[in-house]
Amino acid sequence: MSFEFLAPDSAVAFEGAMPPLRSPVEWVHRDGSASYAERAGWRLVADYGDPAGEAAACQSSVGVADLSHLGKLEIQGEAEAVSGIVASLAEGSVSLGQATLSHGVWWCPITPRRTLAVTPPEATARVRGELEAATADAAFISVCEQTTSFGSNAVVGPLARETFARSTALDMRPDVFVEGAFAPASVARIPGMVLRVGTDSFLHLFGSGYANYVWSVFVDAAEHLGGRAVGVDALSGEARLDA
Amino acid sequence: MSRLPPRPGERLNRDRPIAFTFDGRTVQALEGDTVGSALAADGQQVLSRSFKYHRPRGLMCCSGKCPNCLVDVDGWPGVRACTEPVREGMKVEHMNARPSLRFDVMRATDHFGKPFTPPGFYYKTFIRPRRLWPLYEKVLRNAAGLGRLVGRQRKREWRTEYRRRHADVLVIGGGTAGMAAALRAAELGADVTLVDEGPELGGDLLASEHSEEAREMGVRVGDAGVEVLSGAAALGFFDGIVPVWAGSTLHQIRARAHVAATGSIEQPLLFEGNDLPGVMLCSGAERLAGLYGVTPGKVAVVATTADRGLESALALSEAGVEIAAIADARADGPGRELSERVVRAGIEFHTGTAVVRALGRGRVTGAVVAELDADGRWIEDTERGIDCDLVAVSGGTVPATSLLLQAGAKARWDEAAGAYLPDEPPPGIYVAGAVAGYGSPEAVLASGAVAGAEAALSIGLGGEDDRARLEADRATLSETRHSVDETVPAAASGAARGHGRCFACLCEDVTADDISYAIEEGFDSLELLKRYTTVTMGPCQGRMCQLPAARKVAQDTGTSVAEVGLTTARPPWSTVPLGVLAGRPFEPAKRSAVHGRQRELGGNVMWAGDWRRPYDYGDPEGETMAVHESAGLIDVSTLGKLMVRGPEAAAFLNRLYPNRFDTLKPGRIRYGVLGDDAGRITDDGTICRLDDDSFYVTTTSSGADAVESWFAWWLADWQMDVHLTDVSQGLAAFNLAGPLSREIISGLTDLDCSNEAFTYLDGKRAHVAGVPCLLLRIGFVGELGYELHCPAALAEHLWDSIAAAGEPHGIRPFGLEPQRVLRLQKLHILVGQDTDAESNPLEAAMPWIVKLDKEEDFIGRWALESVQERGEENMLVGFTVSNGAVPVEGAAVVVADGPVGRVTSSRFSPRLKKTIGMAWVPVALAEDGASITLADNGRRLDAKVQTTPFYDPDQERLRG
Repeated sequence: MSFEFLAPDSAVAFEGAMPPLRSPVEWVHRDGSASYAERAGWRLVADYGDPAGEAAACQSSVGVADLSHLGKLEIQGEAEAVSGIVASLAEGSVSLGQATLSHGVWWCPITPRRTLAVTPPEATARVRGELEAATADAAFISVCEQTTSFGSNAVVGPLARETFARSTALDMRPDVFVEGAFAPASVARIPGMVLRVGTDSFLHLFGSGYANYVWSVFVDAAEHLGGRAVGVDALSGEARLDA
Repeated sequence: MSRLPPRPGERLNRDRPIAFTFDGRTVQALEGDTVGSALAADGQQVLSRSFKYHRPRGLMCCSGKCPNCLVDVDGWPGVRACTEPVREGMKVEHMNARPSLRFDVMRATDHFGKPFTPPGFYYKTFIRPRRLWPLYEKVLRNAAGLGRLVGRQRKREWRTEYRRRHADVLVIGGGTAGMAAALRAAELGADVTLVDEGPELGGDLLASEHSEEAREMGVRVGDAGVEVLSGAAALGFFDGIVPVWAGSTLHQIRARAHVAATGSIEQPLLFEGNDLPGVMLCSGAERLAGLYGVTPGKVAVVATTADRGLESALALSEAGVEIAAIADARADGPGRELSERVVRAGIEFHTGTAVVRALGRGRVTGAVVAELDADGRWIEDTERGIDCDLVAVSGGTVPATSLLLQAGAKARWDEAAGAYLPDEPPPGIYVAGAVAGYGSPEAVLASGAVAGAEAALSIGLGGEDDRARLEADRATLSETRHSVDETVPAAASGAARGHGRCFACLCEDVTADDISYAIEEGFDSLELLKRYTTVTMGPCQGRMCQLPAARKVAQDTGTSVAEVGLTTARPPWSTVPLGVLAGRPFEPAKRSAVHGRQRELGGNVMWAGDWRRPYDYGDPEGETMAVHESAGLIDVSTLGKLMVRGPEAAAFLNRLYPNRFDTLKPGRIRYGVLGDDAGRITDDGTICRLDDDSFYVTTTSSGADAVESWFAWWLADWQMDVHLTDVSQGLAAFNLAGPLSREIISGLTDLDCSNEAFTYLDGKRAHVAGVPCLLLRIGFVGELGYELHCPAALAEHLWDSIAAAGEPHGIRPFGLEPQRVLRLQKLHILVGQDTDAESNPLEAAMPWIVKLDKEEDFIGRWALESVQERGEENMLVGFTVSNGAVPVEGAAVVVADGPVGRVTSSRFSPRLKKTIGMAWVPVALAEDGASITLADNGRRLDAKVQTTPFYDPDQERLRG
């Protein structure tokens, strides 16, 4: 039996249309002034009615954007085997605490035996295929689709660290949490993972069931600091994890 | 009091007037004033009434340390007027006085209440007759306390939050030593945070002739990249976390190294009337004049035990205060240079003398000075009265060691300093400035630089040059005169004579006589004395009174202060509002991917574990009947879902569960009950075999995390070839149930859903409405049904598609409440409701699930074998109630002797039109038709036991 039932990109057309893919907080934004766009089958918030203001927030204070559509694939197995597979696909090794960016894919080591690949949505199926091919002959390595298990937010701007500081004790100082740093951490009292993708750009991953809760916590903190919720169009390509 | 001409270094902006009210009266202030300084300039000398005796109190320390100026500001009680900046329109009111500050009826306790309120009166008076205690309690509660809180508050009105901050070096204290430490550490490359209680850096120097230098140094600190938190009080030391309160934020600061430059606290002197308005600390008088341009008095008597008192007298004289006399308790007095300066200033001063009494009613009008003998006691017949309106006192200084002691440092009595100094600070903590016993400006500065360098070097910053420089600085420091040139302040000069009181603790109105009295009663250690008299337990937390109390204990017990010791230092070091400690309320809640749709459909959403779930959609009975008559759709996305994969996956599950999974064929489902080592039920769910090496395990919603942890724990122990992946939140799940469910789903999928092709307990993969799904044909609610598991991102589309397809058939969404009724009809357990920590599957009427003939061991096997051997004692059974009454869940099952069991679930079934339930009963009663009695809130209900499902016992509808 295949595990297609785990993969959102395994949907097929129904009554002439592809079923839309929705982030776990997509329903929240319907109440406001959000403008939606479609990307790789996902319904995303392009902006909240103020694209210039949202882009400015990412430059001068902080913007919080829903990036739950990013693909997530979990590789699990013996440490040496996992690191070997990841090194070959990432064209570079990963070590605990430091993720590697390769061809738009962030390879994030959660534990020595477990790595999470975070992909642009257009690349998820390809990377999954590459992983399955790479692990086909490997002794007991499993690849599991986790795209919808994790919600993810981009937190971007000079006040991004201050925003995180309202809900996590993770040391995110620039010299400590360098670019590419990746750490599991308690954020807003729930388990999460934080990845630094740029100078002042961070990706926060968390259980998708908590997405609405995390969104409200972070947007509240951002607004209190003079920032705001932003659509994906306000983000740079780097922060958006464009392919 | 009145305004002085503009002074260098003052905080005022004389071009910006500000008006506020005090007890309804408008007060004109200037920008930069505090409430206390503005009131002083306005001539308001009495600011509060003391805690117990309601004695008038006025400004004393002007630095937020004493309790004398606590006021209510805009409804917030307990605000220190001497540090609270004025704001336009603020409403300031007195506390602890009725009907007014000027005339307080409770002052009667001072005049007449002594017999009723001795030290520890709560253990002696207001006890008998016991029946009057409720009255005593009411009277005492109304009389006690400082300030009033709002009686009722509908919602939080004050936003507070936590801010987590990491730093290389945290410097606590923004005086010279702290600034020097911060600069030096920053110079070595450290990321430094400096916190200081005051509104600006500079500490005590700001009120002196060196204020400009202090401010300039503060600018350099900012330019060096140090993060400065002003108005920020460090509250304690918690295993490396220092919480700091500033405004609406609690900064949780985690630093790799710490420098404590917390300074020292000037101490009052003990004499009769030492709490009168007009008695001030020398430093307080200097601050009032230097920072706020208010003259603290016209004519002053200065009482001191050290050079700083004389320095203060000179400063006050320069500010225009006439110094009538200086009473220096030291027999030898000051050094020559200082003596000459005092003489040149025309100030009369006497060595070996002390103020023994302050005169006045409601404010100082004079002071009595007397000579002291060699033991520091005043000599009778040497008293001399001096007219004055200000008594400025300096009883030495006490290092502010509380934070250091909380961090683990020891307190060492230093005879020369006449104080406890910190000793043996733990690794990573460095001490600088007055708190370390350094007194001269040069030593304070050098000690700060040394501490800052030590802190930075200790965490690997700096290089060999910096180490060499540190050694040189240390050498300089050791050569610098740093001992605090103070004599041991005289203890209270004899018993109070006449009618005056001599206060050792201003906060709690504890007099020197009270301390002696308590010691006579046997409370002769400082810790006992504290608890008995409450000395040091007030708003100042011992800043003003711990050392004087310790000296009094030493004096009365004939021991030394070193032997007396200090009380245990505990947080918070400064008073802090509870709202700050509470921070932002975080209430994590999980919501399914179709939560928005549930709300649109009118779901009554409530908590179910850590999920928000709809209990019903407004019509639980109708929803229940829809499942029986057509179809219902429920969101069960909250179920735990685990992928268990690997060549040993079957063996792994065999060890965890009491039943077998190695015999489960791919594409088939089996119910599983998870147990612990003692054979007790901890969770249940279904296990679907996806292929030879892969299983899909579901758990209860609230047990998901615990089951995942349990699985992971045993996997780590057994080291089996198994991978475990939690997909609980990644997959949505819906249960479509009812006689028309097959028809509905068939229209959405190419899968053959006939009973022959898709039998009960089959698991199949298919696209439904274009959505990739795992379909499980199971039946928790007792009707033909399918559980569809799909990626959460497609859940809303799937839900909408099923709802649309089912609309012509009368489909209805149903919630948790109808589900509870439906499952109860089938006698399906809810773990945690129908079971508890003692329940095993044998007694929970599931003997078929326990395979004791399995070859391999499994968790809880020995316990279940034991139960089987001894036989069941209690059983979980169903019951019906004939008269339709619904017993409360938890009602007792009773026999003549008393309770023998309990009801776990009970509902009225609209389908069966009778009350049904489940209960634990003794095994003797666990037979069909047995009569049991339920005791429920005073009523008795007759019930009949039923051990088979109430509805469709042969499962014809379920398997059809």
